Amino acid sequence: MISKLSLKTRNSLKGLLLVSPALFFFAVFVYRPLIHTAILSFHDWNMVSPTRLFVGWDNYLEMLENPALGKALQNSALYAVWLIGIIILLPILTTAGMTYVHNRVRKMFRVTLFSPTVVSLGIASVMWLWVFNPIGGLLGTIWEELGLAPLNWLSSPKTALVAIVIIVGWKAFGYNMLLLLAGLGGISGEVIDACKVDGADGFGLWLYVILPLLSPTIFFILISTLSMATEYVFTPIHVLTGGGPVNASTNIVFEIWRQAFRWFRVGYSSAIAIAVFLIFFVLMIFQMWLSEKVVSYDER
Amino acid sequence: MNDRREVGEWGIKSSPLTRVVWYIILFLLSVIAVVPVIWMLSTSFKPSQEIFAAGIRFIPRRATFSHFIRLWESFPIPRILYNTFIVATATTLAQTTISVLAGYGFARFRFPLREPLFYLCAATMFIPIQVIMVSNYLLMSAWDILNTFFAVVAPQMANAFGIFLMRQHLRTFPEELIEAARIDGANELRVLIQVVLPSLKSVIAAMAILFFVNGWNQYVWPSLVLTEPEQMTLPIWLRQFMHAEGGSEWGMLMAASSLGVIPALILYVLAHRQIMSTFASTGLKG
Amino acid sequence: MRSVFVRTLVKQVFMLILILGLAFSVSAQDVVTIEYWHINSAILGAKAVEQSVARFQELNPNIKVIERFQEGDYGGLLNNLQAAIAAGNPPAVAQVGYNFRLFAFEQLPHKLIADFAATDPDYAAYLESFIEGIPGLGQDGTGLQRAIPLAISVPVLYYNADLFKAAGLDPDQPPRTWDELREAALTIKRETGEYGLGIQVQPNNNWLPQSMIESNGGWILDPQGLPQVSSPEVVEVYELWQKMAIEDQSLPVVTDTEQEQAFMGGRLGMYLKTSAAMKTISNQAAFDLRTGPFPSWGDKQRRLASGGNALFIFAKDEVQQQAAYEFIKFLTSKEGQTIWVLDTGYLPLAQGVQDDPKYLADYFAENPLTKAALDQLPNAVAWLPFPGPRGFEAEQVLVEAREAILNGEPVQAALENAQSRLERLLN
Repeated sequence: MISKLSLKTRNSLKGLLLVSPALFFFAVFVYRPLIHTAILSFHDWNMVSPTRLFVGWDNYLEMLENPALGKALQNSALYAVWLIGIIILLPILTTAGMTYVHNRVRKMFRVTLFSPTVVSLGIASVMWLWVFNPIGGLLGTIWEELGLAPLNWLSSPKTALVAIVIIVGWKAFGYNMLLLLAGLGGISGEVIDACKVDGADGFGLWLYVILPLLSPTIFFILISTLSMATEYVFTPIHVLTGGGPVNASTNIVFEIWRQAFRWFRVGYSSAIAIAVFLIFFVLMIFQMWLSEKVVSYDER
Repeated sequence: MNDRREVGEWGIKSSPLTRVVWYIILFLLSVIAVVPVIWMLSTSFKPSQEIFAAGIRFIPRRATFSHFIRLWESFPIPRILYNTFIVATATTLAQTTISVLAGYGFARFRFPLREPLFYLCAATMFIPIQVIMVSNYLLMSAWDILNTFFAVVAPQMANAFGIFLMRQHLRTFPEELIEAARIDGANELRVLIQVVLPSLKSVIAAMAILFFVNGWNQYVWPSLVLTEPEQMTLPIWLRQFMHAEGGSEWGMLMAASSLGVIPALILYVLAHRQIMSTFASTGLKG
Repeated sequence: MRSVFVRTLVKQVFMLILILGLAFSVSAQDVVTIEYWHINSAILGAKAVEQSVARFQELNPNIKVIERFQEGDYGGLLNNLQAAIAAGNPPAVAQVGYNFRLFAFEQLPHKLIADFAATDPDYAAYLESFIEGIPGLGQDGTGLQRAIPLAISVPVLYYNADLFKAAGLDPDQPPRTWDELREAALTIKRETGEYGLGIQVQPNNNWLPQSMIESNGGWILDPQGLPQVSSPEVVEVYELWQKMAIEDQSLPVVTDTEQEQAFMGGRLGMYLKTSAAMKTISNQAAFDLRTGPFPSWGDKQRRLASGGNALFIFAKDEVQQQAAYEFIKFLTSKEGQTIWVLDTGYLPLAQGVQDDPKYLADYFAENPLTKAALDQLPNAVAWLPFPGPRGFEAEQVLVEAREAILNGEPVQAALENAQSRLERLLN
């Protein structure tokens, strides 16, 4: 019966069939709750009360005049910028560097550099707490030895955000390096040889051949870093700083969580979640559109 | 396509100085990467009163297994490890399978609304679990499947990262090879499994490792749906040792954390060796 | 190649069967089963809970108690409780932290303890078995008994006698007032180079600052519920705090866990912290650890915020409610309290249990550290809950003021700003 359909229709059906499990699970476990969230965003509700008060656009309007939320948005952007540096640029560099070291040593580096990735963010936060502790911690002791004034990493508005960035960067660095190495593994040695015959080598080979070949992976890492910058930082914030001091380290997910699960303002929290989702959705589509122009999906 | 040398074997020109600089940089980064882990391990072997007493010491003055023994005596450690392993494995299998299928579908087929549907899939990575978990909890409760591993795995079977990553890589796969296989009469699933996947082994393996690590460490959702002590997983169990009101027992916390990290690290090293050795040997037998 | 995939497939199917198999587990019920949610982790009270449940079941063979540890402290427990209530399946008994007390009174459907007055002939005697004033922690503003307090902790002064000696201070005479405290901290800093004092701070509440403020005769919220955080008494508290941090450099501005590590490492002379941490601190401190009372402001009366939790009945079924009530009565009985205190280091709430050789007299004789906390129990007051739908947010306003002050913002301005924000949030 299927064979009677046109090739085009058959192809469409096959494609839909392949993506249908994913669509099904997203529909049931992500978008169904999200619609629920959207409905809640027009209500005033504390999660347990039997009555929900319909408040129209009030929750959305309130976002405009909440200073902590503005700070959270601003911090989210800062987290993204920092993390792009630490878990995109640095892994690209080290992945390149890995090709310059001896095979055996490289194997060792792969394990050492990846090892933080298997540590959960909760444990990582606790480990780094000891590193950051200005009184008897690792950095504190080094600081003392160098004769510098103690730096209150987690309790100073100047450094709290950077401290969280370091923890997340430490953990996620290995992820992206692994993905890049896997991407390199997909590049054929023949291509490299051919380019060398054409005269490209060393830095030029990296810049003009290998990086473009890696660009689909790099683009993926860029988008996923944006997601990590909002979600991964939640755990260290929650465990270590509670968003403080004075909201210096808070971010948008922490704000959403705090409003709903600590302050029990589910409606308002839902409104933030929906607004943020829409912002990211638009940003992502823009990035995708841009990437179609920049990323080389080289059909070899 | 057949030539898959290790990256180091490309013979990219470099001066000895460049190489020395890279050795130093990679070594320093490695130190940063492992020092906190080593501190964790060393703390777990220190007697409680030595942990903070002596400044920075990585080798315990008097090593002790007492924290591990206490843990072993008070908790069903093998059971906890087994539970965690099952949850992580099930999550990994489901996520990998669905990611490969959907990635292939989005990358290689044209169908109506393909782009919007893909955007909707990818956008789910920007929806924090905190926003959707209560609703999902109520659904699981209504289905009466709370306290099952299935309830832990079901909501995360589809993973936006995986689908996106697979799509990125499948888009660059040579069309001729797929066509050739189709002409030979292979059905789509066969084409995918026998022609496409082998060349993506390294990426799929990397992705699966990441899924496994995340599955191994997840705690927000499992702690909501699993309340039976027999179903306790490592990350939930670990929370027992971090206690804001009563302070923390660092030796116990670090011993428990080590128990969580070491198996995952061993699995990674094993899997990693496997993957890297396949890079060099497998090519396409097209 | 193919065999690998076949093997993977077999493995997957096997896994699926395994998961489905684990998914269905059936349990028989012939007695009343009640569920008890608590935050008593392996390091704080898990054993006490286990023993209490075992003993209670021995005494009441027709009741089975399933105890469930909830992670994430009182906040985490409350979130899971909300989800369970929304799903219509709440535990029969749960601990609710005192800071969430008001929210639970107003928002969570629970069975009143007062309801048992009609059926329990011992009801009045039961409430009288507590130390005076304690049942009040489970009452709402009208004096209605809604819950029963289980755990109480008060802030105490922990100090490092070795550092005291090194600084030339008398370890048998810990500072009694805030002036003496500041002086001692400064001396420690000057003589040993180590920090003198740490004050427990948390990023989401004002538990210890409340004790400082109320002991100085100030209020965060006065008895009428109006914010008073820019009053001279409150300003005095934060000014002293800021001076110690910035001028004296004798108080580190770090997170509480960092202070805890520093104190246990012998790098912090004194530490004002909850008595609930007595056990973990004494286990890990490698020096001569001692405790003293919370310092007072001159000769003003101390008022110490009590941390801990009260037990609420959330069961909907009448038989379960009755069983839950029996269980609560056992946990707060002399026997139950003895099990509880021995394992947790919390303070006993039942009258007379601390001097009774049958119960805790030996324990307190052998544990002089705990004595300081026990002696302060008469000064305990309720941990202040911020009222209204935006109460929790209001609590954060004062936290932010503290963080700003410790980072150098002028005290008066920070507190005036907090006052006006509080007025907006609370009306």
